[in-house]
Amino acid sequence: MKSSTQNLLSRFTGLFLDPADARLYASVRIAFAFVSLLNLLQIWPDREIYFTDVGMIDQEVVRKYTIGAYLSVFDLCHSISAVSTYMLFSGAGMLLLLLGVWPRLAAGVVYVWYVSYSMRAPLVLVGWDEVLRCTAFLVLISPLPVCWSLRSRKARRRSAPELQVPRYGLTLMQVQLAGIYLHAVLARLDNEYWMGGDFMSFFLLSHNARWPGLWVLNYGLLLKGVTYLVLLVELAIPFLLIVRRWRWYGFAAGFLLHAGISLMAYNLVLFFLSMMMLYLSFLQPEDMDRLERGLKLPRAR
Amino acid sequence: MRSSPLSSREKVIVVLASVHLTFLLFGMLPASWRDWIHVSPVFKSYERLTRCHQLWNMFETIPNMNRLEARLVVKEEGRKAKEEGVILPGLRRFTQHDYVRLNNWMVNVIFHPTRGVFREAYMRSAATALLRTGRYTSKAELTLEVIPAYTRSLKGVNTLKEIAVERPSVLGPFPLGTLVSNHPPAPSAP
Repeated sequence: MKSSTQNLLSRFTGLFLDPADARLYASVRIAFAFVSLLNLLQIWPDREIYFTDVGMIDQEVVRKYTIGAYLSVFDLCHSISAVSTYMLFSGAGMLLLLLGVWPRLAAGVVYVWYVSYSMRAPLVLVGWDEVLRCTAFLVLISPLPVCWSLRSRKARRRSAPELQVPRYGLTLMQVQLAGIYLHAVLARLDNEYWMGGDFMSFFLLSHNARWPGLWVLNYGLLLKGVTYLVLLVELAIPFLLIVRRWRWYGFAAGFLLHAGISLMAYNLVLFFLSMMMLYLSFLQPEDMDRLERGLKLPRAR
Repeated sequence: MRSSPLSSREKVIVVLASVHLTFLLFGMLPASWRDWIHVSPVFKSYERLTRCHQLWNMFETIPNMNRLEARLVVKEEGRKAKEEGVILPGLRRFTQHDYVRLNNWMVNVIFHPTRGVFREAYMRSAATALLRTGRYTSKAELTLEVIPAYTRSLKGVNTLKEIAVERPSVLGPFPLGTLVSNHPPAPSAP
């Protein structure tokens, strides 16, 4: 009895402390920083609309109606020049994170950026903002090993690169991804459009669709099938990804699902990239070996 | 499997990671299910602390809006009404596909019954911007017109061969002067 309890406890701590390949963290870090930069670039042209005093959202009203403390760097930025400066600063943080230079500090800057703009302009948030903010927190608390980074020569001499680090960050990212899909499916269980199979027809007739039109009605039965298939795929993806030998089916299913959404809908490419970024946490060291061989990269340091 | 005892650092990692793992597992439940469980306030506090909101509705609500138009209409007494764009600053025109985030603003502010305070703040800002252009007097009346077109039932679309029906929503008219005086600018230094 005691040994089985110990065994269970050991397996549980293994979820967090078993060694993980440092390159996996590096790949998530790089992908996250890259998608964050794209998101920043998407927001940049409209920064005056969302974040300044002459824009669409009154900061005082937001502050008054925020549940809990209003903590946003935008509290200090009211004009377009101040907002631009803060966005450039955050962009620099993303670039440093991408390059692996002062990664913990950079991850902190990026996390503060996500919290700040989501508090300042909560009414213009979209689905991928939430995914990116949750990932920002996980990247911030995860090990940030120095492999695949632009470390200075001096820093390389000072400390040997860690090739294996605790896997808690990857475990939490994996559960986060599974949580997104399972939550989405469970939330739809009492929705008559999803359960009745009409969702996809309505989606393709909506403003979200790239080609809305009466053509949708010719494929009613097919679209009913696609609605149920989406639910099934979202339910299956976490389980496929968890089982090591089935993970590529999980990757393929997720890629096809999100690529399909991006193809049929407007403006959802960033959602596709944000979700794919979390899939990287399910990669294995042999995948990294293959990637390094494929890209002819030197062995991770 | 580990045989050595955990170091203090490892213990801290296990405890904190377990807390976040529990949070994520609980977050898998839809929001309406969570409220049945009495640990929900603790969950919400942790969610607020980390700012990792676990609400993944992803098209849970049916996307039944086919298109959305919005404009400001300004009417001076004795003159023809003029249309202006709703986007501040600059009074630019709103197009759904160019402004995916502003589309959410429209849905979250204009159609949300509890967000009247945001609508009022917007109308004040719009009035200030319109007066600044110099094209209108403070007696001109401002109306926000939002025209969503909602998708009919699939049977309706099939029968009428028309996808959506418009249900305009109007806020106003309000005199520009009244809107601006409700939100007086900060007094300038003497």
